[in-house]
Amino acid sequence: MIFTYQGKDIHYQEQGQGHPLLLLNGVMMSTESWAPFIAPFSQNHRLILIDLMDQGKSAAFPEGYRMADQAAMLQAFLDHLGLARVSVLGTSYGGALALQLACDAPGRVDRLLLAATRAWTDPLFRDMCESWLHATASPQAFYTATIPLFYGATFQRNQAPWMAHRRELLEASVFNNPDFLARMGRLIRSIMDFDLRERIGRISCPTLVLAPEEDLVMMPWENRRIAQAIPGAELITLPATGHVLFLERPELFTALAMGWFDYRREIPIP
Amino acid sequence: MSAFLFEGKSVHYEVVGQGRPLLMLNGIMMSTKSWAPFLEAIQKGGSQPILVDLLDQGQSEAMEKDFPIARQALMLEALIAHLGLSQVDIFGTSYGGEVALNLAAARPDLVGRMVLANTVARTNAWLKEIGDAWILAGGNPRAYYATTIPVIYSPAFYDRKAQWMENRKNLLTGTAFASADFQARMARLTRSAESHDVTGQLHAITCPVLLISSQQDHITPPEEQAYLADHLPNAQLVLLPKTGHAAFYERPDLFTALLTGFLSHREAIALP
Repeated sequence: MIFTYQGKDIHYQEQGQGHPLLLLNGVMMSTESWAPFIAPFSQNHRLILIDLMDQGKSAAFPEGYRMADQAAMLQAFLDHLGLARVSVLGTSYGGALALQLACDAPGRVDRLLLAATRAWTDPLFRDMCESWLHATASPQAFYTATIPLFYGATFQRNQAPWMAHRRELLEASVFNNPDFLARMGRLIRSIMDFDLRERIGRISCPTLVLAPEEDLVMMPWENRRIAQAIPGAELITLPATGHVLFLERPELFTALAMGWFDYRREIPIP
Repeated sequence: MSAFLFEGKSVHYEVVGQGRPLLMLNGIMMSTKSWAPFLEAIQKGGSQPILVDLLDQGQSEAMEKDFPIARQALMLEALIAHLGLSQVDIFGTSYGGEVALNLAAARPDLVGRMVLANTVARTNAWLKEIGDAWILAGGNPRAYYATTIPVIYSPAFYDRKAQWMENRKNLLTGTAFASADFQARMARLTRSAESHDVTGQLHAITCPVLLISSQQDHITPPEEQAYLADHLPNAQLVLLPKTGHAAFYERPDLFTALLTGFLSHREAIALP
């Protein structure tokens, strides 16, 4: 499906019925990344997948947009669907964007799951982003600058053949595609001045933060910062798990996410 | 409300509603009644809770002498047969998780999925001495409270639920902890845990297991669940920061989400 925003195509996809659940992708992801999760995630929800500006099948956007602009696009998208409120699951860049949406349009997000994300671009992450921008010069440079940090050390040890296959695949396809790398450059730059530290304390919807212990991109302490700042937020730490937790532990990720979004009441302890 | 006889002793159990059978195994001081606030949500997740007072717990008949923890597992085997079931999911917390491991080690075929919260693979010398302290404090309700309860909850929970804890103190020291029958049961239950050691059998427990660990668990510390995660063939581990041993009371909503999510989403998801 296509939603037109500022004269450009935004690609999205819906599946299932129930309370709307919007999935927000990590920077290199697209709606296709969620393919293995569509069946379980749409079992009890109206699942909405979207390629953000410069992602997947959505159009390329001019240089210079920021996280707030992606969030403004999402608000227009929700208007287009006629949805007043949605639950939001965001991972990495998508988690940061979920925070931006919840801060900019607090009434529109009724439940949040933030997987491996951060509330601001600290100096370390800014330089990491800059190294990725430099690395767009070659497929090998882009692979080695990004992917070894994205997957957890434990996963890389246990899934060495899969990682090797993935490297071959990525270096031969998207990482060798100037259009993809140009999109990555713009997406990466869009998060480089991101800082919601002063605003996330006003988020009031139920929030679950997933903090993988081997996340070398967003860093466990930045995950914890979010859970500490949002009143009543729940926090789960995932040992031996890296930044790409949804791929590293797909079944656990599904259990945690669907448990969180299916279950919506408060249990009074006796 | 139902009961069945195991080796001449009446065992109290309750089957709640319909769905995928889920055996819920209590921590040492708990009983079937402890789960009341959770039952509706667990049923909504598609499970049929089967609550049981283990030997020497709650409304089950008191034992006369000491017994090993493996006896609890035998009793559960008999209960599962009594109910005409060939396989159940199991949720166990603390002592209940340890009973679950004994049952799964002896009869892996009976177990579909397990969720084990704040559970250890064996009672080591340190944990045995914690148990000894509980038994020694048994004659004095206030001493028993002070020995057992503060280490079960996290400091954060004490701060958050100060009044609730105070009410609980008055309740427990005035009722259960002052009862000679309860204390005799607790002493036997505590001693039964001394025989707990499934370290040599973990490889045989091949069902999917979700392990829940609490960062501030001073009875069954996170290292113990990390050990289980390393030695069970098909286990996933999550850790709850700023949470104590009684994780399900401290984080009831999150806990219910974990339990129902893991039990209701059973499909395998392959890497692309």
